[in-house]
Amino acid sequence: MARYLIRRTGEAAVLILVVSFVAFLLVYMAPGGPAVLLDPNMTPEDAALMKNLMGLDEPFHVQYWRWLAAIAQGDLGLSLSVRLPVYDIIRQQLPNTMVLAAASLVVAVTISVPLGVIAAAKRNSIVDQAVALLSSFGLAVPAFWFGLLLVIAFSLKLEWLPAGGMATDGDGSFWDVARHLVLPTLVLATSNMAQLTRHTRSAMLTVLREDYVRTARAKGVSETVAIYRHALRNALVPVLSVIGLLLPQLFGGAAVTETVFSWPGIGQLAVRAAFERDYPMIMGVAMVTSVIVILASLMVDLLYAWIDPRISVAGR
Amino acid sequence: MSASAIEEAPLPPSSGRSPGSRAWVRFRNNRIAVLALVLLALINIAAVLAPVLSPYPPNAVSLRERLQPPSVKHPLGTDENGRDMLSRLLYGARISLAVGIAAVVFAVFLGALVGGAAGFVEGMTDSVLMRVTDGMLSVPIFFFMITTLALFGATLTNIILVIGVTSWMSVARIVRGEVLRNREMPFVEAARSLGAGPFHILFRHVLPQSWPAIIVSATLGIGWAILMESSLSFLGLGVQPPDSSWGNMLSKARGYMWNAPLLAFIPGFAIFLTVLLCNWLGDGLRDALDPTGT
Repeated sequence: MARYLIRRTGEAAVLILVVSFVAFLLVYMAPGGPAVLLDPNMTPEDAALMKNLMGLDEPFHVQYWRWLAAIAQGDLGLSLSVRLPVYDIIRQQLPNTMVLAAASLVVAVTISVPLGVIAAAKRNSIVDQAVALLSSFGLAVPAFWFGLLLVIAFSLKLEWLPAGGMATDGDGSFWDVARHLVLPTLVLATSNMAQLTRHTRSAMLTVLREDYVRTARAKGVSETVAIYRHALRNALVPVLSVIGLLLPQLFGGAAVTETVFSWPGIGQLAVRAAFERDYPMIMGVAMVTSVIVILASLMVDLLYAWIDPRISVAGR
Repeated sequence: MSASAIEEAPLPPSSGRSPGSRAWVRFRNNRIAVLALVLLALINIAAVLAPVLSPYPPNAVSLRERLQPPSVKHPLGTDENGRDMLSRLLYGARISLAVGIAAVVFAVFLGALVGGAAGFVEGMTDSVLMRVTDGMLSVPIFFFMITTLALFGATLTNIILVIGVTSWMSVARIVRGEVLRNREMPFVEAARSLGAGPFHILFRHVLPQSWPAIIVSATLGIGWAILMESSLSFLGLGVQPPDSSWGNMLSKARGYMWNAPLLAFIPGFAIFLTVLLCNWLGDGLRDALDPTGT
């Protein structure tokens, strides 16, 4: 276990380093340079001076190491569009994204796991087929379209829920935020729900074929006990690793969902920064989300290995 | 592998002799997959024939006819600039499908290359390439996609490259698995003893074995790529106006949700249907080509 822990942690560290290199390389290779250098009123001499001041005329490795050293200390630079430290803006908006992502994950797990279990238990029944149909819909539906349809139905026509934002002006109580959270959570959870249901179902089917489940049945335990006592606990272990794989999509999907619902999180921040060619902001969001997802996946993996010791012995 | 109702359908008795004809019989008996294939073929034909089928040029603005409901003159109504929705939908299909297919072709090429190299050259190369593959799946890559398109420009080529570069991983895993499975087989041994080089063995002997799995993965991949293109276009970082793609049609329709909800409904439904059909076809092909479900 200790060796597995060290190896997985090392892998995560290397991955973070590689991601930082890719993020920097993208910006380094981009044509035109930062938005301030695109100012048409700037003379070539001014542009050269600007480049010199910003350290952009130094060799690649010098610039990269300086940037890396800065972000290691939490300094993500100044946003080019709002002239505030990127770190402060991200820290301000990150909790909003975390709330949305956490709510979606909770909703996805509480709906998908029971659905997957029922589908597997009643294999090939009408229930199973309905679940399969629903999850194929969930995988195919474009999040932004689903979001717009929900807004048209529940905000514009029925007027039950707010169409966007995180709180009503002057309010901001728990229930107010919760009401704003409903639609974005549903949209962000949809694709994850579909995938998680399919994985839970196939994990259950695999476990139900195992010898110990057959033994339990032969022993005469009821079907309910065989499924819920013996099979479910073991089927949940692989489901846990799938949740780790869904985390990147959860954050990536936040960019679209937050834009549809004007949810003030870092996904929306990244999209806006992309339009404004706000380099430090784009790199900051990409780095922060990557680090969060990589660390969260690492925790899921270690938890997985702790629950199922076969993993750390066999490696991957 | 993930399962579905389609996958669990009882297999009909196979009557053909070759594996191909047996797969065809299994496929033919899967009603959902056949339906998906037929509808996808129709959608593709409609896209190819867009110049013939469109009642109007896709960018013909007619400000007097803004936001009209469906009528005989405009079967799907008009958008905020009075452009005919049916024509734009058909031309949008060309771009959305072309981007999806081109991105997947590129992804399959990359995946075959990475997976082939990883399976063939064991040791360091294999483990580094597989770590890269795993790594690509464990970072929020969508942020890097929008970053790249914002910095390098959202041209059609860039969109295809960005989607391709971020979706080769499943093909790489499949090809690597097939290479590892086949590299010690007698037929590969025979080719090697006849003096065949590694590239010849990879492309002529090993890769053909992986085609069924690659086709399944590519079919599912096209749906994914169309979804990605539409998300990027919706955010404004994909296909740029005045060109129409299903995603950017929806993007502008947001402003007219109350007056003209149909404007947002139609292109989104086109995306949903096409992706759904790709997934159903992919599931059906998997069941037909690989009945053991590995």
